[in-house]
Amino acid sequence: MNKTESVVVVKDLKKYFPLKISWLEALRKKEKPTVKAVDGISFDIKSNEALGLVGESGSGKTTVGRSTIRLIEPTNGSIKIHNQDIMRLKGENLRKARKNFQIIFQDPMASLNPYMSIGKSVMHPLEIHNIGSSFKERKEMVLELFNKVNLKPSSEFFNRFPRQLSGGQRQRVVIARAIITNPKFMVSDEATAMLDVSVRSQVLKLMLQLKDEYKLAFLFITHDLASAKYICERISVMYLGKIVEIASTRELFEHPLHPYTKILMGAIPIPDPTIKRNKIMPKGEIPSPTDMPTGCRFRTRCPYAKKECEDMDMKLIDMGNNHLSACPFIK
Amino acid sequence: MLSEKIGKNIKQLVGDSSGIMFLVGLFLLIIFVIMAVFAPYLAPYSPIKPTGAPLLHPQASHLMGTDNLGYDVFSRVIFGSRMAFSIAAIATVVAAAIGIPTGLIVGYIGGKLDSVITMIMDSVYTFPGLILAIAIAAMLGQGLINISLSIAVVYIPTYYRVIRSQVVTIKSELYVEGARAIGAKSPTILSKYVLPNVLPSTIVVLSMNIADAIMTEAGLSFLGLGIAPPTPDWGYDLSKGQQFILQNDWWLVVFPGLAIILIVLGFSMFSEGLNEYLNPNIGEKR
Amino acid sequence: MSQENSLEIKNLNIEYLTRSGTVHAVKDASFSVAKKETLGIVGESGCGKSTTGHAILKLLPSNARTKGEIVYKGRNVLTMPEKEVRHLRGKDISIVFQDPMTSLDPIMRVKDHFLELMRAHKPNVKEEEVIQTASEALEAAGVSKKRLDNYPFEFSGGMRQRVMIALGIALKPNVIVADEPTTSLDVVVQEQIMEVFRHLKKTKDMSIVLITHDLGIVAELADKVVVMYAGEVMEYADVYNLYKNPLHPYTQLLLKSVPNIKIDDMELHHIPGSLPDLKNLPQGCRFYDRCPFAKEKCKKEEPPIFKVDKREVRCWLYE
Repeated sequence: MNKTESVVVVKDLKKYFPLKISWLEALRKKEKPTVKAVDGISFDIKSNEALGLVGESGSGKTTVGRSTIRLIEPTNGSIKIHNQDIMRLKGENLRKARKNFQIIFQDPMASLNPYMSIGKSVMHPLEIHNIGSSFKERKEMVLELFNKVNLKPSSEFFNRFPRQLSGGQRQRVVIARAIITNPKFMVSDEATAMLDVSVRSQVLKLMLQLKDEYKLAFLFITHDLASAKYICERISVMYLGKIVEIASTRELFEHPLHPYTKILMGAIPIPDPTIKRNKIMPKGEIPSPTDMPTGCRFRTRCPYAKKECEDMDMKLIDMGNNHLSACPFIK
Repeated sequence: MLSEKIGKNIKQLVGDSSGIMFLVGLFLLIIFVIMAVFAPYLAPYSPIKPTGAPLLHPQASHLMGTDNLGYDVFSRVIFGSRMAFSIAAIATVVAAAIGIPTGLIVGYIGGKLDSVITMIMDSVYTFPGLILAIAIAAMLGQGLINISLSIAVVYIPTYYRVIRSQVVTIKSELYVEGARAIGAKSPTILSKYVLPNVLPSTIVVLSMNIADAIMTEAGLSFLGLGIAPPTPDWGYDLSKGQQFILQNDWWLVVFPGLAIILIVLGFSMFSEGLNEYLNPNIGEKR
Repeated sequence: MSQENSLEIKNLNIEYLTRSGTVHAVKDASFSVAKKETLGIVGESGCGKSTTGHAILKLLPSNARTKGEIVYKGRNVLTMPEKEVRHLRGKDISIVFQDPMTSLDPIMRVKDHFLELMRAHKPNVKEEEVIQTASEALEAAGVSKKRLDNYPFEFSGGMRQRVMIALGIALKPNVIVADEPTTSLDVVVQEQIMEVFRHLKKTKDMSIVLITHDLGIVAELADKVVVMYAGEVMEYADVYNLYKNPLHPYTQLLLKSVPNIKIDDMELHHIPGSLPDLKNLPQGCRFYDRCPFAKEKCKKEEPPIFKVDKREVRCWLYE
């Protein structure tokens, strides 16, 4: 595989959830109503590259993360990870392929089985994928990894249970479990959102370090642009099932183009009382995906919305510098 | 379940000191277990032979008096605990052995299978327990195993329902999704991630269930569907004793009745205390 | 701080009795809130900020034991009989909770929530008066009065939080306690809710106690700040000086840890270690384990509050 080739290539990913309707309604309507949680998203991630996926709740970002590794079944799209066509895999083959792509969830406490010691939790993927020949060898691998993620003394931590750990330590256990099979692709779904500020950076640093060491392709899903900045080479911004802007991190922070990105950036509170910004704020809140606006999905809240926005499609346009934006009016 | 209600009410009475409740329950149970295990040594007479004049009042030679055939009531109460425990144990084990795996697997698989099985279980569950047990017992006839089986059938849905509802909740927990994400097979997920998390509540149901099974067994014997006399059995003694209550021969009813009450109370308090111990979320607020 | 205080907290101690031991949730907290002032209580999980906030309205669970004083209008709320505290709640001091979905009754219309609140203080209140008051309050919180007949589920998260705020300000209380009012919301909606608070600060005559873990929100809204760690007030200062020149090592490190949006600052900072066990606290300073300036004395003796200029800091460095 040559260096610039992407580890993860996702094309036109769609996930529609069926809406619950009564059987009477179902008889009348030909087409079943759906919620378009993810509506045609494409991205690619290279080895040792982190792509940020930023958006509010309801934007569909979590659904993207889970569909990409088929924890939920995508409605449509093609997914290639490490040159393997993930969408074609079935049953046993998919299960075996899972060692190549892992996910870190938001809530570390809920991600760990409360009745399994953290050592066993982290060892379990090795057993499932037949890595290592004996318990002893596997335990060695776990202990080594515990040292790496700073759960020291590792042999003491091995027998502890999730409830005996702090939030930051738990998340490091979850990260250790995700990395132990030596995956090529890692999804982090708001992995630092529930952590306190004083430990959040530590987990961010750990993810950065592992990304470098394992040459991971990283999909960093977050609502927090500030956290994404530290991890990601590129950032994509999502709104109501669509990517509205994608650019290198520096480019995005210095020249945000899409109105939504600008608003998102302006809304982050800055811990400095001397700064008083003039904030542009959108009207209202993110509309329900069951009741999506026509044309540009952001137009109902966009401070710059005009007539043309009602019937444009949200195609990403290259504005130069590999900076793509779905708003044709702001360049 | 009745025993659950009893336990909850007692808990309200004792308030925060549920530890005491647990200990009292445990104490009662230990006494009954000792009674059952050491019955031949503890009972002064044989429970199935006349050992004195009929209908003696409680006195030094017969602590709880004698019945109309001259059997020693005290000895019968002691030996009766054996019957209560063995039937309750067999019934509970059979019910659990069928109810728990069914609930576990059906709950995890879900879908149409779940709807069908749950409907069947629910229809059994809605049937009044004692009446169902009577019907089955009448069909199967007397005898230890038959009685145990008819009681077991009544309690299978209890296990099924508790386990299934827990599995449905746990199934959507993040750690189960996490287990899928690392590539675990369904049987592995069930045994390593789901089962350990439903087990604590199973143990609580188990101990409550024993209390209910004892009551049902007493009920069956009371109605003459239980164990063939003269085998000592509290329910049978109770029903026989009630014929003499108008003659003021109160001891025939009071002592077997008290035994039933105390053992049920013991199990209820024990299981409610256990529930709180295994379920830290109930007690500890922050 | 010589101006008139609407609320004064003196040596507040709160413990929770649990089966596994006593949780020392708050220790010796003292601070005051002046009229028209916004006080931010900031800290990480387990620092005691919410417990402190709830104590102001005597809204603690039954296993909580309190000592000290919360003085409102010359009287100690903590020793007031429940009946009198109920008269205070909503009318004199009100609270806005973190999660507006669970704090609003799902089967009551918005109007009914206002009715209930006002009836508690004035049993025979007329419907017109309720609608009048509710409309004004809703408008101040940015909700149309047309929505009085709606049920909570018909509102979005941000709108529900606005309704909660409207309920909080309806009876024109002197103090409003806002417990993590934006935590469950997205940044954009959070900004909208902060705008509501800014507007309230400008237009209404009340003190706000703002409880949050977010140093950015405190910086934007508060006049004075209490920084809490492991149940203690570590630093107490006005917002400008606190951010410009944090005294306590914890405040310094905490401020550094906040991820910022300056693209040229890629340095990540964190505080090593974790919070001490509140059931089994160390003898000396509670921040000792994690403090880069810790001395021998810090391990043995718990620092008292030291006054530096007009500020307060609990650290031996300022002895």
